[in-house]
Amino acid sequence: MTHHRPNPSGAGANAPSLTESVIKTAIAWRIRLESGLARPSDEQACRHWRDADPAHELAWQRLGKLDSVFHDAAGKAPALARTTLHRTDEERRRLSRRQALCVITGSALGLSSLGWLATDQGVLQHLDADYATRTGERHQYILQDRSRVWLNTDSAIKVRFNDGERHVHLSRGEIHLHTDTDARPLQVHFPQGSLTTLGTRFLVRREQDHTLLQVIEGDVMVRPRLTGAPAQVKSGQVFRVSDTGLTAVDGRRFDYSAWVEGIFSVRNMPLAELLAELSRYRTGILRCDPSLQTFLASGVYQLNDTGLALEAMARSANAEVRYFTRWWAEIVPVQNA
Amino acid sequence: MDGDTSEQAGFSKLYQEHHAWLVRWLLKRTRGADNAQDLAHDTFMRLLDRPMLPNGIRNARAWLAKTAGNLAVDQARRQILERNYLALLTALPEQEQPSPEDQWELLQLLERIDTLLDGLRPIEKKTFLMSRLDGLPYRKIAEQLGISLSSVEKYMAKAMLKCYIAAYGERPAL
Repeated sequence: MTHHRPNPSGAGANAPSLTESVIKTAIAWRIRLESGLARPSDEQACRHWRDADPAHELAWQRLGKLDSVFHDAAGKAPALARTTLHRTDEERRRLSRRQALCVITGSALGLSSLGWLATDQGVLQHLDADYATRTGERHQYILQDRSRVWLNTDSAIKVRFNDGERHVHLSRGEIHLHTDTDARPLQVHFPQGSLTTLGTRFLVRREQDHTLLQVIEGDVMVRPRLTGAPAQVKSGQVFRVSDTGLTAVDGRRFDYSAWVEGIFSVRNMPLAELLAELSRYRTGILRCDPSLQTFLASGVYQLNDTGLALEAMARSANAEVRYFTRWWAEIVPVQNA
Repeated sequence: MDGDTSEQAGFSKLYQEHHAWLVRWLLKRTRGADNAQDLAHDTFMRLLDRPMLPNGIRNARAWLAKTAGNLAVDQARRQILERNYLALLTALPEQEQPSPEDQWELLQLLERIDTLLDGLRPIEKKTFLMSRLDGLPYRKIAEQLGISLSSVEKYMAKAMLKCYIAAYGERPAL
């Protein structure tokens, strides 16, 4: 695979070409002087070689200039730089193996899959999940019992129904489930426990260390994994479920199930939290200036254009959106020149 | 760039004839309409940098598709770097994070380093980064990686040549 790349040194195509032997000799000199084995006379001899021909000196200077890229990075955060490069390489190696698979299975270029593989860490979960969405996608599915399940962005579920039971495993993300009364109880499983219901409408959302549950209609029984004692959650209530119990959440600040309608509705929510919510729907990083983090935002935004939502949020805080790259945006105070 | 009018007219004609096609081609292969538009734009910018315009429809479309495909792959590769960087950065305690200006500059430096070292074997890259980022002497690198001093020298030479070629031209003149 050949890449057409911008010239990273800024050296134009008309920069003079040096012969390979000059470049290799310059490299050999650098290595000799860096190796820790150089004799004092080596320094002198290297100087002599550089002076012998302008091409030698040019090669030497260019190598020095390339080194400065690394020195600059080392001057800022060497460990961060090293770890980033290392992880990036590892991830790309995994990726190219899958790309090879794409080619075998006949996909034209493997580009579309590359695009989402690159943004999605839960790739393997897609394979064994029965239903899944990618970042930015929302989708409704009708299950075999006619229940309707909405999957929010970057979510995955496994559905296992049999004659006596209905099981849904939330592998990733968030679902909104509307189930009709059925003789078989429906169970939803998540890392901190499970819930059981007969017929109702509710939302389950996985977080880092807990799962959020909002019941919209009817009621459900929740069993935290460690205590096992069932607790009832009724319509209108929002709870945070941990391994050991339930904690009530104020559901007025953020409308947890508005995404089903394609909107995003908040009342007096700190901007930093709002951005964390919005960033679930897009690739990349959203941040805000420290001075704006606690700004309380209110509003209703459309989820199908997160860029527009971001602009609106910024405006409400008297700020603006600054894009560093396509995937990295920050809300910063308006800069008056 | 001189204002050669026939060349300019050729470009406009190519743009008019193939832009919509290229966007559709990209839409089928990448995710998101925005991205397809942007990639198509970047592809035509590359065309402007070329000394000669490709002739004939098949030829032009083949060139556009190949260039756009390479750009999309590069973009996906850069995105992986950026995502890893931001994830690691935000995981650092506040007092250990570089200043906001440095955060941005460091990402740009990393993108450059990434390009310069692209294609090296993992051990070669590791050796070179231990020297250049951590400032370790060759002897220490050999100890830590359990390799000989002459291997360190060999890998350093390979990495320096790679950087040189990436920065100053595909192949040095012989």
